[in-house]
Amino acid sequence: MHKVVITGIGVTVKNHQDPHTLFATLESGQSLIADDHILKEMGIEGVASSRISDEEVIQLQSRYPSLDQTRVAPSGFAGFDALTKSVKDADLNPDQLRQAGLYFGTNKILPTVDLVHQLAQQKAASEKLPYQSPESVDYYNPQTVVADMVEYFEIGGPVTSCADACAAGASSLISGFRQVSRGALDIALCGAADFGTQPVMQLLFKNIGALNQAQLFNCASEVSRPFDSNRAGVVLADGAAFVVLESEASAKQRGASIYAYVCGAHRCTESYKMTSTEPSGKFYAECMQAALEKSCVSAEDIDHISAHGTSTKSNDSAESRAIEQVFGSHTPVTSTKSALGHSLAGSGAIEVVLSALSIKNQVMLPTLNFESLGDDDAKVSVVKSATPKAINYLLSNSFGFGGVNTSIVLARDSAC
Amino acid sequence: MLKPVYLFQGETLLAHSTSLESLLTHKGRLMSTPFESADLINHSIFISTLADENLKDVGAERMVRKTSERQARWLIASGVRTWRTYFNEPQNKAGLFIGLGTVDCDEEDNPELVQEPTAECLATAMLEERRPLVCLALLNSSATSHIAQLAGITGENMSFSPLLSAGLNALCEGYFAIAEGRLKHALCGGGSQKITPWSLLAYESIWANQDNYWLSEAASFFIASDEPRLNQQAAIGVMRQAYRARLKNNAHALTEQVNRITGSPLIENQHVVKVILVGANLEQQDITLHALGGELKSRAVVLDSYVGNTMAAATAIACNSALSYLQDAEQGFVIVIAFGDHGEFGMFLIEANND
Repeated sequence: MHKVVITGIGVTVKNHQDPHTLFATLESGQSLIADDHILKEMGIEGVASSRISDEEVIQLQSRYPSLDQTRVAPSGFAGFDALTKSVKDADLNPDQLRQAGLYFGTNKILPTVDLVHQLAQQKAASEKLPYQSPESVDYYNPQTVVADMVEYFEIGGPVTSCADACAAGASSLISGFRQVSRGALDIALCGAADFGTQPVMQLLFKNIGALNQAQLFNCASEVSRPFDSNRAGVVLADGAAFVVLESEASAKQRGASIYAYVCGAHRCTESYKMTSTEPSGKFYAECMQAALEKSCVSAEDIDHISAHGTSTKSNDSAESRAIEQVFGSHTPVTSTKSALGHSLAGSGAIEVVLSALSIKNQVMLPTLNFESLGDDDAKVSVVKSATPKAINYLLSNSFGFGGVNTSIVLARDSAC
Repeated sequence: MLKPVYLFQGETLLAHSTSLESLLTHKGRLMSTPFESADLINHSIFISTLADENLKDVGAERMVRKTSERQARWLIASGVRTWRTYFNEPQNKAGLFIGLGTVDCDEEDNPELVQEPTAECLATAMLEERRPLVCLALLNSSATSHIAQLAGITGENMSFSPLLSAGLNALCEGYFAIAEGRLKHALCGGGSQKITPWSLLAYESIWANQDNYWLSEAASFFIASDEPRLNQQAAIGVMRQAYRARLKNNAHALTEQVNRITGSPLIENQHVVKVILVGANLEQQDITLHALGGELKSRAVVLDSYVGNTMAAATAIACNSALSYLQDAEQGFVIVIAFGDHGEFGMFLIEANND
């Protein structure tokens, strides 16, 4: 098997289009979460989110004039932006891109409030055609941007669009990793994009009782608090990230900078429930254990865990139990969703980017707002503030709605 | 070293309860009707539509039926029935790989709940009038989750969307999961997007260059395993090679890829029973058939001419068709050449199982 390294990273989240700046923001303990004004305008108070603003979307659109704004949704622009930066960061040339594969994770582009009204009015008027034009529908196809990515970068390898809910970003990376690992590709561009703050998405989450209750806290930045006893639901976010995975041999041959090694990964299904994980965390534990085995490292080797940590009661409780089962109580755990919110399909890719930087910078990022574990939580060591640490191995979790679990092991050097 | 991947035939759901076998043996024909909404894109489109599945025969609880919608139910029914043909108990290292359509926005999604064109009215409709579990039907992963639960699959899974290449990628991922030893068994397959005015418009760019296009609702699954026998039944075929690429310069690249297949040492001096083309547009068909040439061309089957464009179900239907041909032939190879939506290309070599 070939060793796999990360040679390029790109990220696009609220107010940040550079992974290093984002890392510095999180390291300083700042949150990107604020009151959700769009929902407030809909008469729904007390919801926090981490939204990429309309102004930022316009900037993204102007940066990439080759993409058709009427066909590509904002999440597509964010994904394209993250991909562009990762390709530039890795300093890939056209020949290398022509041999590369593209692995893109995405979720949903749901109808806007205006479209829903339009549908309602047309349906009420018994009009035959509920939609205006093919172009207007293309916009709601989250894979539309994949064709643009392929054409713009002239990507010649395999192309996949993965739809594994909140684990889609990590799942895409695992697919790309395996291709490079077995020598089928030298380079895989792996990433994801999702706009979790779409009003209809937030309403769906609210409807099933998973959305945050910001009114319980003094300010929006306190709302996302993974593993904390007072956590009260997920904070949805917008975001995209890409990593360039490359065989170590290829990276070294061209003198590319290496952020981290990808040692191994595991992806599995729970077969438990659509809406929640098994409370003991046994499926999460199995996933992490399998990732360790595939990486040929032991639990004791892992210096830091980037948790899925959504700030929901059930996820964090099960994840803490799983971590305790596999690692005991001392391995430091963090969830950057405390500052970034949960960008659904995008989150796994964003967290791998931040994990790679944690390894590169030898710094653990904080879990904001964490004070104490809840009664139902297992004893885990949650990182409260940014902390320098020798990180040789890091494990990153992404667990998707419906029971798609992923764990990825990253390393500082080539020992893995 | 890649392990051989044994293939076991599964269920293919086609419109009007048409059997795949009857189509391949020319004993039956899949009926289609004009799609009146096709005038949306000024095309003539014919459709074959599947009946709904109530899921009672697979023992799905009410919750599953409430959190799934029509196209998910096709997948759940055919996937679970296929799995249970071979497995009565949960299996270690079993996985699930599915290509599926999306349920992003649907004209059946009760917009009439929104009485007035205000944001507040939308919020009220969604939060107070709509049953919470209906929202879960929108998730792509719902169908995957339900199948995993009903079949007891706890290994690796992955779902892709939305069209032809989704099924192609699902098969590739499933093949490599077995061949590389990560899994022992995998349920592989896919289901088409349900045909609605919405889906027609959503994928108009794909249909736009076709005349008299035939869209067909379908779902299809098969089992891939590292064992030659399952539950007393011998595998019909062994997948010896799976290959995935992307075609840039269509004509030249496609010819190169076809030559690569026909020149494979695996099939040198071997009997090729059939060459199945699936998902190819007319230009791709012409190029492929020309490149196959002579004898192989005479054994080529353009699957879409039998079943229509079955989208994410297409590659699984092609594999099940390959197994049907091999069952009759008992030896030799079937080559499956699958095309995706944006230049994706896959090739699978399936040999009759002699183990």
